[in-house]
Amino acid sequence: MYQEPQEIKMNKNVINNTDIKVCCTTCPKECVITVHLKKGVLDSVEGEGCKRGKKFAQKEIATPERTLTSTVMVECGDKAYLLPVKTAAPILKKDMALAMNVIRKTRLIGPCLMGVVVIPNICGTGVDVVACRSIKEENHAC
Amino acid sequence: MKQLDYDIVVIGGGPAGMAAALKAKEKGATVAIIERNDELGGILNQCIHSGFGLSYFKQELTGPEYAELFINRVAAAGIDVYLNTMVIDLTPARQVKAMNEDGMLVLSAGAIVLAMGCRERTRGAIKIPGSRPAGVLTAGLAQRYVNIENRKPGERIVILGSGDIGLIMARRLTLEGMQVLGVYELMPYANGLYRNIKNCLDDFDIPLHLSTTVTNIIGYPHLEAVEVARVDENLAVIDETREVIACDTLLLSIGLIPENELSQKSGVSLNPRTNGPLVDEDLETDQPGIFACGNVLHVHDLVDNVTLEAEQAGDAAAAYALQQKTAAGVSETGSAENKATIMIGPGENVGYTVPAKMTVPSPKEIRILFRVRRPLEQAEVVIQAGTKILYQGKPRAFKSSVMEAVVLKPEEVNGLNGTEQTIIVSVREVK
Repeated sequence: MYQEPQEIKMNKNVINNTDIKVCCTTCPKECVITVHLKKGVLDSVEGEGCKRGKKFAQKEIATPERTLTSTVMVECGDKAYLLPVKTAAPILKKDMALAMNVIRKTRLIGPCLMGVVVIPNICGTGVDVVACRSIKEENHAC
Repeated sequence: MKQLDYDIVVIGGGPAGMAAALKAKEKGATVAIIERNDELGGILNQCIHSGFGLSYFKQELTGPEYAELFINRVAAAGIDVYLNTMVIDLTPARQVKAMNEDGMLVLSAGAIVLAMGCRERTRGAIKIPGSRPAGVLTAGLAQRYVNIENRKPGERIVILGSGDIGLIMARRLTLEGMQVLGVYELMPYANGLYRNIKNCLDDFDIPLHLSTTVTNIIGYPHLEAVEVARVDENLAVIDETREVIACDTLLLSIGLIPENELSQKSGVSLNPRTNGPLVDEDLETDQPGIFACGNVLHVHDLVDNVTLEAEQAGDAAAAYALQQKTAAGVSETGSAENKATIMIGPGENVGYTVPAKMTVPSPKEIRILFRVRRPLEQAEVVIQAGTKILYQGKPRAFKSSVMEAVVLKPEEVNGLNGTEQTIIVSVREVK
């Protein structure tokens, strides 16, 4: 069983440079997009392979988001299982540590199906945490 | 001893085995999957991070989700699945001996698909000096402990190697409250995908030390510290840079080896460059009717590519088995004497190619997969047979962490004569 969580270090997005290189993670192509800033304000974007890349780069320098994945303990009869979970949509990177604290304390009872909501609206982000697989009694217990 | 007959027996129930089985079933073959674990899905079940399925399902999935979508398809298709079953022998005559709680099984197959995956390189593979304490483990084992078994590997973690599993575990352990002190990489460049460097290390301020390696393991019976040192351009340790770092866990993410002991039992020849079977354009090994796909063939970085490759192997295996059945006793149809085998191999800056050979004339296009040996900033793919250039790509950047694919059309290769020509895939630097 895990111990109480320690503080999680998250880095701050530095946006005082005039050029920021952003690696787009929308698809496996991994385009390196250069964002040009003028006095800290977005001026233009260069190197994106598609429209999604431009949107990603704009978001990445201001309010970066990530899909958070972890596990939740599920008790099923006299056995316990780790259920993989994810945020159903990306959440703000700065909310990840808070969300982890909630996910870590969550316990579920009984079998469950892939896709069911495990934690609704985690930390007020408007995003649900959902189950990434089905758990049945015959599955691998921990 | 139970005797069973199938058109196709697939060995391994991970993403490759499931995709191959589904494709073969779709072509009308009777199919069995043999899996040694207690569930299908293979390594995907412990890969709880997202980033899977971007090209195959056109959406971002986690490993368990990708697996469950396939597990449901396998269940719906009427494929026989043998779980908790270990294959212990495979003969060139395509007889599979397996064992489970009920005893021995002997399965006779029209064709075999090898889909056993790969395993991690361990400390012994790179001969790190020092004591032999607890607390030194592979990144994938730590991943299983944390994501499936609910066990904590340690408190203060050092990671050797910048492979994708190591990077993903750096993030995972940090999120679970452990302290990841740093990732150390012998080479002057990272081995993992760039998205993982960014999302797993940079997001959490975990330092990546390039051209640095672990030179000593200290402590017994439990790990107490590791010694790290920088290396020069010849990868020789620079003595004055030695530094001791107190830690209780060393994770190794130093590469994967296709698991081919069983393949070799059946007489399949391996490609020394991939440690996987030597295959032709149908992913058939040099033992007729034995096909291979997924990480047992060569190590992939994206499961979507594994699925595509496995579908190709399943398709070809079904065609082989069904043809053998209908034309029992009759030798291969078509004019075999007009066909020639052309070898395909790596040239400048290329580590390997899959397939390693093909038959011409070919009725269909051929997809050649390869990997560069080192990162190249500006380079172009050149595929040639003798002096004839079959394909030339546009100059761009190449990374050794990314698998490359080039598709050759039948008309581009059918003029070749196998007795005198080899296809060489090179990636040439453009200055």
